[in-house]
Amino acid sequence: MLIKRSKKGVSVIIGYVLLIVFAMVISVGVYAWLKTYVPSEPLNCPDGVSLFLKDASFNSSNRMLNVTARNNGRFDVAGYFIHAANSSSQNLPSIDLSSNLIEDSNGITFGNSVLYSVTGSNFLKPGDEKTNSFSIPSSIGSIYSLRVTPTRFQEEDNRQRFVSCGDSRVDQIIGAPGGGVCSPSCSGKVCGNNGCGGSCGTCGSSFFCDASGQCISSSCSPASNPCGTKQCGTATNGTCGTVNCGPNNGLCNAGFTCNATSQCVSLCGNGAIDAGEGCDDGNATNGDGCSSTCTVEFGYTCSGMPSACNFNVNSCPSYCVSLGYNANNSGCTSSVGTCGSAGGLHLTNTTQDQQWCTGGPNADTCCCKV
Amino acid sequence: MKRVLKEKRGVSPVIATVLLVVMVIVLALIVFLWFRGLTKESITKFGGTNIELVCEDVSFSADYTSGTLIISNSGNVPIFGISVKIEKPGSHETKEIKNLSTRWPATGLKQGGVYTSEDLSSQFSGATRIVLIPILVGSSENGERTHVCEERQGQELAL
Repeated sequence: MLIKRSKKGVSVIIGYVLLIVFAMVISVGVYAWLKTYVPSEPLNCPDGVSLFLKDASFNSSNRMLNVTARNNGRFDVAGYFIHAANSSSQNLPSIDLSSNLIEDSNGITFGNSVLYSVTGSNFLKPGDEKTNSFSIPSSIGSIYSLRVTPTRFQEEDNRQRFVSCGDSRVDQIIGAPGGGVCSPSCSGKVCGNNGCGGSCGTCGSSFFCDASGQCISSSCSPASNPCGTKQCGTATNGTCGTVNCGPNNGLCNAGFTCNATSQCVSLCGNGAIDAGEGCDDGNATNGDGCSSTCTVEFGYTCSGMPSACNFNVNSCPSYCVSLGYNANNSGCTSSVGTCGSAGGLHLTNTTQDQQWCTGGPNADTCCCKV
Repeated sequence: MKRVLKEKRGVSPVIATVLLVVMVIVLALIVFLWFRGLTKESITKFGGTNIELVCEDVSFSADYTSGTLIISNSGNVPIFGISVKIEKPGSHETKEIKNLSTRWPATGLKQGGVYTSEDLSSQFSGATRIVLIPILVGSSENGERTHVCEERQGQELAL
């Protein structure tokens, strides 16, 4: 009897336990190896997001681009990425125009996109439309076509994520002011740009094309410094006709006007909202909601003339957080803070060093204005 | 009789079983370590998704005209880099775009980002086919790692 018992190394129960333990250990190992291959739902816009460019026109004289977009889809839209091409030969618009947005109650620049609301919400409801204006610097030249990609804020894992709706992007050739497809114009010109990315002709080898589209003899006698101290307007260029003065081809930047002595003087601070201004509170002071350059400062909403500006709490959109950046008026910076349980605005040092919660009370993420 | 039977056994059944179990565990460990060395290091992104799956979600547009290469990130996956496969008659080479162009942003192309190259016509001279393959950056046990997606997830430029 003693010999028979000794033939068993371990009991049947222990054998089963060992088998089960082995199976569990192997299962855990296989799961740990394979779990990263379990597909998750990608971060995408829902089908049915649609932004229709109702009107897009570029005025080459004041270099203003007006874009009217209508939400033709079934979902709210937060804003859009906007890129332009300045030539018909450029198939893919590559010039980011978001930094040229004239910020007002219809939109703010955020990172490399435009948001319809400073609150960082999906503000444009289905059926609504808004117009944004862009001040295009002369270095860009003409605007031939636009590519607009809608954006949305979507909740994922209890966080608001900023999503690009690439499948809903819109490409459009720019219309002339007032709408319609861009009509090339060579009126009075024999050379140079036709306003739509094309050419009005080229000059012979002994001629050059001046700013007004005329072929001027290369042997003419230009003035040594025709513009002198003029910042805008025109000046006589010896025997070579006239030239446009200043870096903007005779024009002033948006928000400035050319006075009688061809100097660009600012319209900011006169209490009236002029072209290129997002606000004008009658002074040139920063930090009161309307900056010294008459743009609406981050976190503020301005209305009326002279502009009255109010401070908005909780206005940091989640966009920068989704990118691992923080938001401020001029772009994104790279440090991320954590909000306390109270949420809302967290004052640390000064008004220039504030933390903004993105999700209101009990938010667990925020971005810091540095 | 009883003493003779005991002497025929080298070790008791219990000790033999314990020895077997220990040997199996040691062998299993050795096989596991050897197998782990054979398998690829797992790189994840977006909270644990394998980067090979993330590659499927990359979306970008590209255009090459008059020597200028334009790449637009139209999706929601940041593109850290681009591997450019340049095929020429009888040969091909692969270069990273940051080695071809100084304009490629150091942090890559984020959502909505657009890259415009300088004149690359000399770099692409004689090419019969050019494929742009996205490179992503993810996390692994050893820190951040880059991963080149598969060629089928890239885009061929129209030359």
